[in-house]
Amino acid sequence: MPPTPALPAFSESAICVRDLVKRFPHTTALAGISFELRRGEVLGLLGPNGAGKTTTLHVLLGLVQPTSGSVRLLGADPFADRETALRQVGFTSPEAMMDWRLTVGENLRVFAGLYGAPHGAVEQVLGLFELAAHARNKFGDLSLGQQMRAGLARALLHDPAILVLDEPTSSLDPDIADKTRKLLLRLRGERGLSILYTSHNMAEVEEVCDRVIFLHKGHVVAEGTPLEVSKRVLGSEDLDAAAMEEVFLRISRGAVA
Amino acid sequence: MTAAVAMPLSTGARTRASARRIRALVLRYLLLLRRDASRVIDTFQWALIDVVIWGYLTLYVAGSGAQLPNALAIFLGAAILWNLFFRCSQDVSVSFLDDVWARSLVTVFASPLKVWEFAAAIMLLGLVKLALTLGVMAAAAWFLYAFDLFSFGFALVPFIANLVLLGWTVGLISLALILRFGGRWGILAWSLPVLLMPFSSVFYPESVLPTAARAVAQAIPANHVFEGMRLAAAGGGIAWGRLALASAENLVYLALASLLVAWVFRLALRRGLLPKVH
Repeated sequence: MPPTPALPAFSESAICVRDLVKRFPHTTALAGISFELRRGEVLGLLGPNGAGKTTTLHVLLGLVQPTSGSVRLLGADPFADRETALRQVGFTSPEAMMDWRLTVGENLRVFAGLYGAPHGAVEQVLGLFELAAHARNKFGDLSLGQQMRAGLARALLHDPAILVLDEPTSSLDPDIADKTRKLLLRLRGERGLSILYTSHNMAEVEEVCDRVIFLHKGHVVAEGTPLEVSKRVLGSEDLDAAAMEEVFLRISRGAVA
Repeated sequence: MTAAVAMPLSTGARTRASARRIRALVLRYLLLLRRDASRVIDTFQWALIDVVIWGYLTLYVAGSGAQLPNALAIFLGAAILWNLFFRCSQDVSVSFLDDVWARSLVTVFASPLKVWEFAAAIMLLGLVKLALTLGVMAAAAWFLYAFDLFSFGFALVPFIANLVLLGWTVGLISLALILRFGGRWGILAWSLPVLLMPFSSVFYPESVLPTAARAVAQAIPANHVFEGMRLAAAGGGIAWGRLALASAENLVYLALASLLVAWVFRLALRRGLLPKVH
C-alpha cells in the first residue's frame, strides 16, 4: 500500500475521507482508506467488484455508518448534520431508481421538493438531458439508457456542488455515453462541480478523470493521475485506454499491493 | 455552485426544509394513488366490501328476530371503524414497501431526508387517505342502509383519533421489522393489524372473551374504543374512562414504536441494511 499523502484541512476539499474503516459482521469492506476530492476535480474511484467502492459511496451518502474514521462533504459530516452535508450532493447509480409508476416529470418534482431545488429546475434538467419529450412517460416505461439520463437529471436538479456518479454511463449507447461525458465535463467547467466517478470502462476513466484511486479489498492500492498510476503499475510512459485496462487487471489480480 | 464550505442552515430554514421534504413525499404518494389503479382499488375495494358484507349480515341478523338493538351501529359502525384502523396501519407500512418495491429507498435516503420526516409524511398521507376512505364508507352505508355513521356525533372524533394512533403504531412496528429483516417480511403490513382483531372486541363485547384474553384486551386501545362505541350506540353516552385509557395506552405505544423505528434505523445504518432491503 502506498503511503497516504498528507491530507488538507477538511474545509479545503469537496470530499475528505480519513482512515475510513467499515466492518460488517463477516467481512471488512473498508480497511482504513483516506482520500480527498479536490474542488472542481473529477476523481475516479476504481477497483474490481468487492473492492469497497459501493460501501465508500454509501458512507459518503449517509446510508452506511462507518466503523471508524471520518468523511466530510464540503466540511460537513453526513452523520452529524445530514441536512448541511447532503443538500450539496447529487447522486446517481444504476441501483438507485425512481418510482417506476410515476412519470419522469412527477418523479423529478418530488425530488425537487426533497432537495429544495429552485423553481423551474425540473424543466431545466429535462432540457439539459434531452428528456423533455419523455416528461409525461412513466419512469418504468423508459429504456435503461433513458432511466440513467433521468437519474443524472435528478442528480443535477438542485445545482449541487458535488456529484457522486456510480457508473453513470453503464447503460448508455456509445453516442449517448459520449454526449453525457462531454456534458458532465462542460458542467464541471461551468459550475465548478467536483465529481466522484466510478466506472469499469477504463477508456472513459482515462477521458474523464483528473485523478484516480484504485481500491482493492478495502485498501487504496494506487492513487494519482491516470498517467502517474500507469507509470507506477506498468512502468510505462504511455497512457491510453489499453494501459488503464492493464492497470485495472493487474490490480484486480493482486499484482499491486 | 462552488460554496467554500457547506453552511449550516438556521433553525427556521431547517424547519421550512423539513416541511418541504414532508410535502414532497406526501405529493409522491398522492401521485401514486392517481397513477396506480391497483392502489385505488386497494384503498376503496376492501372498505366497500366490508360495508356491503357487514351491512347485509346485520340486516339478516336483525330480521331473524335476534335481540340486538342498534345492530347496524354495532356491526356496520364497527366494520367501518376497524377498516379505518387497518387503513392507517397499512398506509404507513405499505408506503415504506412502495420504496422497497420501487428500489428507490437508496435514492430517497441519499437526499437530506431524515427518518422522522419520512415517518411524518407517511402518517400524514394516512390521514388524507383515511378521510377519503371514511367518506366513501360513510356514503355507501348511508346509500345502502340509511345508516348515518355520524349519528355517533362528537364521540366519533376521539374514537377515530385513537384508532388512527393505534394504526400508526402498528404501521411503524411493521416498518421497523421490514427494514430490519427485509422485504420478505412485507406480509406484516397486512397481517400485524389483524393479529389485534380477536382482542379488540370489534364485533363482540369484551365480556365474552375468556379471562386470559380479557387481560390481553385491556392492553389493546382498540378494545376500549369498540367497547366505548357500543356503549355510545346503546345510548349510554361517552365512556370517558375507556377513552382516557385508550389514549394513554396509545401515546405510550406510539412513543415506543417511534423509538423502535429510530433504533432500527440506526442499526440499519451500522449494518448497511438500507441499500439491501429488497
